[in-house]
Amino acid sequence: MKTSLHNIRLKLHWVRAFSVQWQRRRSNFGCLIGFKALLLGLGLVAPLLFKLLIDRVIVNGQLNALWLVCSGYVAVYIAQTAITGAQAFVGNKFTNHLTFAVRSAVWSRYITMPFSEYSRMNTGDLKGRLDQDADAVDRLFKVQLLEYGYSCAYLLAGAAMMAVFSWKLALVALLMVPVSFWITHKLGVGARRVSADYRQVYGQYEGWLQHSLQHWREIKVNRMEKRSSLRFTEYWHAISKVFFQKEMYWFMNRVLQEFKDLFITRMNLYFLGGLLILHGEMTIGSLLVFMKYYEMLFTHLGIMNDLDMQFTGDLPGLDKIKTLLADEAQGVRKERRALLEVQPGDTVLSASGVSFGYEGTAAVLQNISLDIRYGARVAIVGRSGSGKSTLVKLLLGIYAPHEGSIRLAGKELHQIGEAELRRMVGVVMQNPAIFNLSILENVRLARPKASTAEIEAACRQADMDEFIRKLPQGYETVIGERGVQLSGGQKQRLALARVFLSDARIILLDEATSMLDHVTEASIHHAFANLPADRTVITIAHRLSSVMYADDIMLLDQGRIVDQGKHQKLWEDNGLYRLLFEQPAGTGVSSPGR
Amino acid sequence: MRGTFYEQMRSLWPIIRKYRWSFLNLFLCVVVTSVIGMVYPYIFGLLVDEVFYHRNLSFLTYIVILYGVIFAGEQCLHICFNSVWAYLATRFSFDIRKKLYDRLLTLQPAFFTTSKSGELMAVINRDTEEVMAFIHLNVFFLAANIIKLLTAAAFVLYASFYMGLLMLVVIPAVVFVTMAFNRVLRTRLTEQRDQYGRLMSWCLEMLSGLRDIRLLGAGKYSSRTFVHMLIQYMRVKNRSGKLEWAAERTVSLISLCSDLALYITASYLIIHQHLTLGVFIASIEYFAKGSDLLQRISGASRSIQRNKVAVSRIFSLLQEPEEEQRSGAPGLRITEGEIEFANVSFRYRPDTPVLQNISFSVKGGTTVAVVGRSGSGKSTLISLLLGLYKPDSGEIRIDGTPIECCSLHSLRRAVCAVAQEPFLFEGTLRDNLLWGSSYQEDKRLWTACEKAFIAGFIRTLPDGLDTMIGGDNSLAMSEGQKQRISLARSFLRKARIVVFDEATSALDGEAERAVRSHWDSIGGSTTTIIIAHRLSTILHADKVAVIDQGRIAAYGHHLQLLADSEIYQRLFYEQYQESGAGAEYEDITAQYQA
Repeated sequence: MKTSLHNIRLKLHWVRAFSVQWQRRRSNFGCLIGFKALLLGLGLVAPLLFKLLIDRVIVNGQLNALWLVCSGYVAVYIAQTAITGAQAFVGNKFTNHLTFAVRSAVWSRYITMPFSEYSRMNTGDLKGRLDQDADAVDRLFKVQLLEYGYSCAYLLAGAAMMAVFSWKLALVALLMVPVSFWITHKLGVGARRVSADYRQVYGQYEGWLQHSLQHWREIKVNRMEKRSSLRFTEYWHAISKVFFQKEMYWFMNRVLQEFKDLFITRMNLYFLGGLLILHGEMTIGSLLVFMKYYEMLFTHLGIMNDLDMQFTGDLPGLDKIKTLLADEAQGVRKERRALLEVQPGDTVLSASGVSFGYEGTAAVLQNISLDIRYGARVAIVGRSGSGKSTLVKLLLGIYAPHEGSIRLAGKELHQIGEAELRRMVGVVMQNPAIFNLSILENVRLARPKASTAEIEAACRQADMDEFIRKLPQGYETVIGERGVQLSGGQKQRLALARVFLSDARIILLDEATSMLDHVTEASIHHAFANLPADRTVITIAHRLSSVMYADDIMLLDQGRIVDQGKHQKLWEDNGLYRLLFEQPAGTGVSSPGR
Repeated sequence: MRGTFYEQMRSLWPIIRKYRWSFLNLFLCVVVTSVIGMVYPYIFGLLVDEVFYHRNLSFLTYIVILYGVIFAGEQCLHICFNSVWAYLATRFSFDIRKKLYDRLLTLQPAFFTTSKSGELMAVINRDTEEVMAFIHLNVFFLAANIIKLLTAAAFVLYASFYMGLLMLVVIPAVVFVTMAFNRVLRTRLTEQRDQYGRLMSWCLEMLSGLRDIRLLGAGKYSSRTFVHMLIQYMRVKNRSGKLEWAAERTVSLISLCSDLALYITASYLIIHQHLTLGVFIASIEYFAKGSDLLQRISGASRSIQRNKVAVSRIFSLLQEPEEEQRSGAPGLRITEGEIEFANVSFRYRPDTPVLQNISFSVKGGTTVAVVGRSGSGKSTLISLLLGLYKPDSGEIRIDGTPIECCSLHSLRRAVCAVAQEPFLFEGTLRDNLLWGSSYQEDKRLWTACEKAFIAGFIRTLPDGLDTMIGGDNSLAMSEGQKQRISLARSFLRKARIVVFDEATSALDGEAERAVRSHWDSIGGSTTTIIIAHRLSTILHADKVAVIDQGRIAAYGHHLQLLADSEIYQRLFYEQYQESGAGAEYEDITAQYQA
């Protein structure tokens, strides 16, 4: 009882929490409440017809009352049909609106939240919010409020009807309710303990089984077959024991429950009811209908109990959605309409005095300053761990520098709207995400309005066209997990096609050609070299062939820019640079020069 | 599907036969209890007639006693039924599970590489339950339900011929209309579920690459697609909502008609004294039970379908080819510990050769490091040596004896493999150390632990060697510590041939020292093959085998290879220099120049 009250308060709290989403449909919700009230009325009337049938027609033999009963039933049916029809219509509208509002709010939050949060949440978690958790919000209204309210109302109305037929019997009957619940509760204690034991043993067993199946090789190699088999038996021995106990508890519960239902609750009432009939205080029909109400009362109590359990299960989901939507206000980049323009001769991208370190670690970048001019071909090189990738992340606005500033076309990076920033700066990462869609759709993501011909041209530039044409469905071929599998190099080329398709003025290539063979790589670099001069290209690579032709190479070491210049100059002057690209003695790769 | 369902069941026949008496017992209980259960409405009818209608309150005592006796009898049978059921559910299913698990342990390695442990677990745990469910629910309960239905019809026919006739007409009509609508509804709901599945898998796809989506500037585009898909889903849902309503209303119309037919017929019969009120009340109950039973009987085919699928999965697992144990073959006897690979070729799949014509020999008591790029076939080589796979052509000989001529058991006893991800099972440290070797004194265990550099750690534990690992709240060990346990295990086994698979990551520093000291201490008596990643490991090996694209590219001492082999140089450069091992590299060059 206490928990019920507590739950009701909690539900109201949550209803308020989602007021933004449901307020606009409150008239719909009002209608739904009205329909439920009408259905409740009909539900209470139907047993009365049965009483009429028994008392008037069958006991007293008034045949004309039979037609009254029949038409009553038909009328109830028609009314129910109409109401449930309207209820389904309005309810669907309400649900659709609500879940749509929640889902699209969650989605738009996903594509605007700070990048650092992506690493905190896994994909399953993200999907959960769009999936079950959004349904939980709908359930809060349609089930937890409406159905629960209906059951509550039925309890009261049913009890009232019972009292109308015979208040004495009703009093006894209602006293039985708490007694019955108390018995059930007491019985449940032992059973719950045993079930918990069972779950634990079974969980251990499952963990062990999975472990042993995954390590089949070790088991074979170490000749552990007999021992594992023995262990399997031991586990099942333990499980069987607890399972047996669990079953017996369950069974005893059922016996006692049935005993209680039959002898304590029902027989008592029949006996008392029989006495009342003998004294003429009640008719047979009344007693039968009384028992109908009484059974419905228990059904609704059961429903409420189930709903309470479901609500407890839904709470984490509601909470997740609420916190996600509450965060929405913060952390979103303000969209500014001002379009960025770059002219020949401008500095398109610059950093001054930038320092950065990840949480809890030493500084990764220290005092980086650089200027990248319009149309330049720039390369950034350095050993692994020198901070190259971090620099890229800063230039892309994924992280904000702790000190210093980064400017794009003369404007502070953090003041530029997300859409504008992405339109300006395109990037190809080492491990690009390939979606389980057709090739066409995968490339199109870079510029949704692009025509098929433009996409094909981009794929040609990325040296991908030939491969795609060989596929049975060509550009319509679905790739990824459930489609054609692409190799690492093919994925990279697809990502390059995306960047060729995009309008991005500045292109960042972060190890973008690391998985390509030398011939393909050369042809890609050729394509980049041939891009119109209004595109600026920044390359980060390990391979000499990827960076050799850059106008300007920056050498990064331990988070600082230690040298800068053309390949020839760095090769001659800088020992670190040479060490980076020099092949071990004897393999014959020396300075290719220009 | 291999063979018919009944042939598949026959493969389980020996196990079923073993429990035939229990099954017979179960069957009898099911049949008797179900018939007894059908008496209750009749007694209730008596109660209404005698006590309420004829106002004969003393009859109530008889009724209560009758109820009591029947109830007690029924519950006794239930106790019997439940204990037999619990016994069978554990023991009978256990026998099948055990058969499956034992079978799994002997299957060919090729099987494991193509199956997922989750699916295997489902077969062992869940599908075996379906066998029991098939016998219990779909054979016994089906029979019981048919008997129940016949009893119900018999009761009503006995009470009143006309009512019985009505029942035989009305119940099939109600059931078949209901089933037909449910079928339509199910297909529509499947459609809705599919649409939802498409939506969610698209979401999952996008969510897994959210960062890339944003970097591509495709955020808005994806939101649009999301909304579009959501609306499509809602359309389908609205349609199925309407259908659901229509179906529900039609079904209740049909049952309304059947109710009214029952009421009207009964009223006429009662008024003409052909029927009593009590029988009428009992008939209402029998009608309800009858249509419920008929629905269940007709619905059984679907659950049988599920059983069939499960049984066929069990069957096909039992049909998988087993690993040849060659237990009749003579045991492998090691004298020198010389290993020879002679023209060994191997492929997992016909189109991709993994090893081609590998020939090299390892002298007894020496250490050979195997190096090569990932995917070059190093681990496969080890698997062949352990007899996990058979070479397609060529032979592996140990001390001149081809390993195929020895029993698998003796081969795996002679060759000890230490994996990179060691497998520790639940139990004490002592149990884990003694894996694969016979009982040994604690002193020896400690010596082995000492050698593996793990003794110090074990001494700090309060329970020492008896510390439990792998359980719920047990000791947490690092990967390195686990590795050292597994090393100590190999020392205890005193195998003459030891294989270390460093696989992808390096051993931790201490474990590596342990390996090296092991070589030093055992000196000439143990042959060691190590798949190496660390430079220091290679430096200490007597010889290095370079595997490239499934062939032996070079074989010789490290310094010699560095001088002669171009592939080795390149590999060496790529793997050891770029991974930040600059210092080590300089050491080597110094050594090389010296």
